[in-house]
Amino acid sequence: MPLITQLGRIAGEHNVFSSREERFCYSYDGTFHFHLPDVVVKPQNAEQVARIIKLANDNGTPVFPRGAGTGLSGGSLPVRGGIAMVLIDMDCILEIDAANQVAVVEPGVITGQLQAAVEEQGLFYPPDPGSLEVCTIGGNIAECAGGPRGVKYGVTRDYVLGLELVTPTGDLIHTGGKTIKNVTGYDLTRLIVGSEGTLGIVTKALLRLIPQPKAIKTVLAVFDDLLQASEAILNVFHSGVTPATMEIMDAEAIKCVVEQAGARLPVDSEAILLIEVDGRPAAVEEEVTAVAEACLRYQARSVETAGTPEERNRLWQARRAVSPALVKLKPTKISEDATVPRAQVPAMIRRLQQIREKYDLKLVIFGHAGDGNLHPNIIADERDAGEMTRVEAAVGEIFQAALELGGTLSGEHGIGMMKAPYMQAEFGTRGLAYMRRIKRSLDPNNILNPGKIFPE
Amino acid sequence: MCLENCNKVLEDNLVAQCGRCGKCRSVCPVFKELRAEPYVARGKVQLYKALLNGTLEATERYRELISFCLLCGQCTENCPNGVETEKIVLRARNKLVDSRGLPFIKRNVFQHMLKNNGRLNRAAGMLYLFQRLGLRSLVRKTGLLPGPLKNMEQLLPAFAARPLRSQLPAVINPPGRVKIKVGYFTGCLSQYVFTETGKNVARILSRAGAQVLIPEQYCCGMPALTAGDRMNTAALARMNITAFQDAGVEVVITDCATCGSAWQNKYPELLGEELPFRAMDISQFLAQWGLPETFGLPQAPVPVTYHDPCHLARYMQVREEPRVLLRGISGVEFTEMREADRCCGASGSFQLEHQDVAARIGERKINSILATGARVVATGCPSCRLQLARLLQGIDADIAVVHPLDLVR
Repeated sequence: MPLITQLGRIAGEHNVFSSREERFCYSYDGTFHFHLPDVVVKPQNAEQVARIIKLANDNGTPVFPRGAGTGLSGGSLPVRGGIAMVLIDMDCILEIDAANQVAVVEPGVITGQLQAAVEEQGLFYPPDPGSLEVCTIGGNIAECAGGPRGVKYGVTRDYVLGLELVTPTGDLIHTGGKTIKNVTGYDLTRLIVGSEGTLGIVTKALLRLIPQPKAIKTVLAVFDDLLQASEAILNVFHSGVTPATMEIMDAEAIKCVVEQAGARLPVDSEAILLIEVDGRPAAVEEEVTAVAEACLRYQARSVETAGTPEERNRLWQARRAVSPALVKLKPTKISEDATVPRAQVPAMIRRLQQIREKYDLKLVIFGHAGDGNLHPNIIADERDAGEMTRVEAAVGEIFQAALELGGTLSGEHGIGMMKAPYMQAEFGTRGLAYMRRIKRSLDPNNILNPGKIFPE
Repeated sequence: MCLENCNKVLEDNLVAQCGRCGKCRSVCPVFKELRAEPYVARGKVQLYKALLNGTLEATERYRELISFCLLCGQCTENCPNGVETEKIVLRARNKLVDSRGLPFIKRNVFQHMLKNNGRLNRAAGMLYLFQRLGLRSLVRKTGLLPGPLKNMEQLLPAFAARPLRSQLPAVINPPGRVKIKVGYFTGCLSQYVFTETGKNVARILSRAGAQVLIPEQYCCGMPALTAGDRMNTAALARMNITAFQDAGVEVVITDCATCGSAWQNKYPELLGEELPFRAMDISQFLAQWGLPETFGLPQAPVPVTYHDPCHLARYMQVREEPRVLLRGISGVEFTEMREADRCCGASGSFQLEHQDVAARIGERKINSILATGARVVATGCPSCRLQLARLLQGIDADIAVVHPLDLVR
C-alpha cells in the first residue's frame, strides 16, 4: 500500500497533503533554505504520532517534525524528503494547575496563547522568543527557545518539568512529572529539550509557571562609547539588579533605524541599552534607580525611564524597528545567535565589527546583551551569489570568535542544519562521537529528523 | 520590453520582502479556519515566488490555493517587513488570467456586462422579477438549479424595483449656495440593491451644501481586479474617470468601501497616474464638511456597533470618521465590538467560491456583534452588509444592518 494511503488511514485523508503545491508550503521555515517533503501529515493525537513513527521505521522513511515553521536554524526542514509531520492540530491546554503552578499542554499550543491563558490566573510563563505570537511549545522545547527575558528568567529548559513523547521507534513514554524535585533516573526531560526533534516527538509537556510580576519599568540609555555601555551592563549586575531584559543596539543598528524607520535617536551615538526591571512595585522603583545610576556613572549621554505601557512601548519602538528597517536595505536577513559569557560582550562586538569590515557586509549588531546572546544580523541578497559566499565565510568567523571567547555556537536558535558544520569546532571528535552514540542507540534506523545537529 | 523587465523587478522585490517569519499566522482569518500553511499569507507569497522562479507551475491546485485569500490586508498590517500580500495575490491572479484566461462566466461578465449599463439594468430587473413573482420560491422548492448554482442563488441580494440612478436627477442642487461640486459614485450595490442608502447619501450631501452630480458611470472594476482581470479593470477606471471629469466634479464621493478603495488606491496604481480630482468616502467628506444639522433617530436610544470594512480601514485608512459620525447622531448609543476590523469573510467573489470558509469567518464576526448587545450594526460597505445581514438572519437575530448614513434622519 502506498505511504500516502497508509498515512491517510492513520490520520485521516484530509490530514495528508500530497500535491506538489501543498508540499512546497512545508519546504521552508524562517531561514532562506528550501527542502521539499514527499508528503505532509497532521496527526491529531499521540497515538497517531506513534503509529506514523512505527510506519516510518518499517518503511525506512525519515520524519521531520514541525510546529509553526518559524525556526531560524533549519531545524524542521525535510532535508531528505520523507514525511513532514505538522503538530499544530494537537493544541489543547489540557490543564492549568494553579495550586502546583504547572500547565499541561499539547505541543501545538502557541506560546503567546499559553502566556495569555496562565496570565488570567496571575501566573507567568516567561520564555519569550521573538515569534511567540505564532510559534508552538513543541517547537520551543525542541529548539530550547529563549528570548529577551532569558537573562533573568532563563530559557525553555528551565520551565519543562516533564514530557510525554513518542520515541524514534514509536513507543510512547513519560519523563519527569509535576514536582520541582525529581532525581529519579536519568534526566530524560533535559535530554529531550533542545534535542531538535532528533530523539523524540513531544506529545505533551508539563510546564513550570511562576507568579506574574506586578510591576515593570523600562530604561533607555544612549551611549557615545560602546565600551562605556559594556561597563554599564556589568555595573548593573554588580549593583545587585538582575534586569528582566537587557537589549543592546550598536551604531550600525541605530543608524539603520534612524535612516530607514525614522526612529528618533541620536544618529552619532555608539550604543543604546534598553533595560527592563520587573517584580514588586517597591523593588522595581529601587532597581530602576540603580539601573539609571549605573548608566550615568558610565557616561550615558541620556537616560529615559518609563512605567506606563504607552511610554514603555515608545522606548521599545526603536528596538522593534530594527528588523523591518533591515529588510528595507536588502531582502535576505541572516540572523545568527552565537553567544558569549556576559563579560565578553564588548570583545565580541569588536570582533563582529572587524568581521563586518573584512567581508564588506551589511552587518548590524543587536540582541540580548545581559546574557551575552547577541544577534549579529547580516543583510544580503540571496540572489547575489558572490555576496552569499562572503556571508558564509563571515558566519564561520563569527562562530570562531564566539568559541574563542568561551562562548557557544547557538544561544537560542538551535543548530539545525545551518550550524551543523561547526559542531566539531565546539565539541571535538570525542564529544561529537558521544552525542552520536546517544542518537544511534535511540534511533537505530535514523528516522527522526536526520541531517540535523551532526555534520555530514 | 523595459516595461516587462521593470514589472519583473517589481514583482521580485514584492515577494523578496517576505522573510518567512510566519507572523501572518497569528492574524490571517483564512488560516485560522483552515490551519494549513498554503492558506496563510506566507504560503501564498512563497507559492507565487516559486511560480516566478519556475519551481512550480500554474496548475489547477495552485490556482485554487491562490484563490484562498480575502485580500483583507490584515497580514500586511501585522507584518514586520510590510509584505504587501494583497498586491502579490492580485498579481498572481492576474498572471493566471494572462496564462489560462478567465472562466467563461467571469469573462463574459467582466467584458460585456460591467461596461454596459443597459445590460446590467436588464439583468437586475430580471432578478427583481425572479425574486418578486414567486419564481424564486418555486425554483427553490422544485430544486431546479443544480447544487453549486443553488448555493449561489441563495447568496443573491434582494434587488430593488428600480435602479437608484433612474430615481435621481443627474444634478441635485443644495438648498443654499453651492459650496462644492461633488460627484456621487453610486457603486453597483447602491444602484441596484441598497437604493435607500443611495438616496440618503445624495440628500445628506446636498444638505451639506454640495451640488451633487451623478453622471452615467460604470462598475468600479474591483470584481474584475480581484479575479485577476487587470485589463478590464483599467478600462473601467478610464471610463469612470472620464465620466466624472466631464461632469466637472471637484471630488468623487463613494458610499462603498470597495468602490472607494478602487478610486483611491487602485485607479492611480493601475493607470500609473494621479486622479484629476480627489476621491473620498462619504464619512471622510462629512468629517471635513460637517453634517448639515444634527439629525437623530426618532426612537429611544439604540445600542449601535460598527464593523470596519477591510477596504475602508486598511485600504483607505478610514477608521475614526464613521465612529465620529455615529457618535454624533442623537439616539445612537455607540458600543465598540471586539476585533471590529477583522474581515467578515465576504470579500466579493471569495464567498461565492468558498462559501463554507466565508461563513465560518463570518460567524466569528457575528459572535463579536452579539457580544455587544447592539440592535444595529453599521458598516460602510454594502458587500459586508449583505454578508452580515444574511448571517444574522440565519440565526434569527433581531439586529439591523445599515450604512452609517441610514441612521441620519
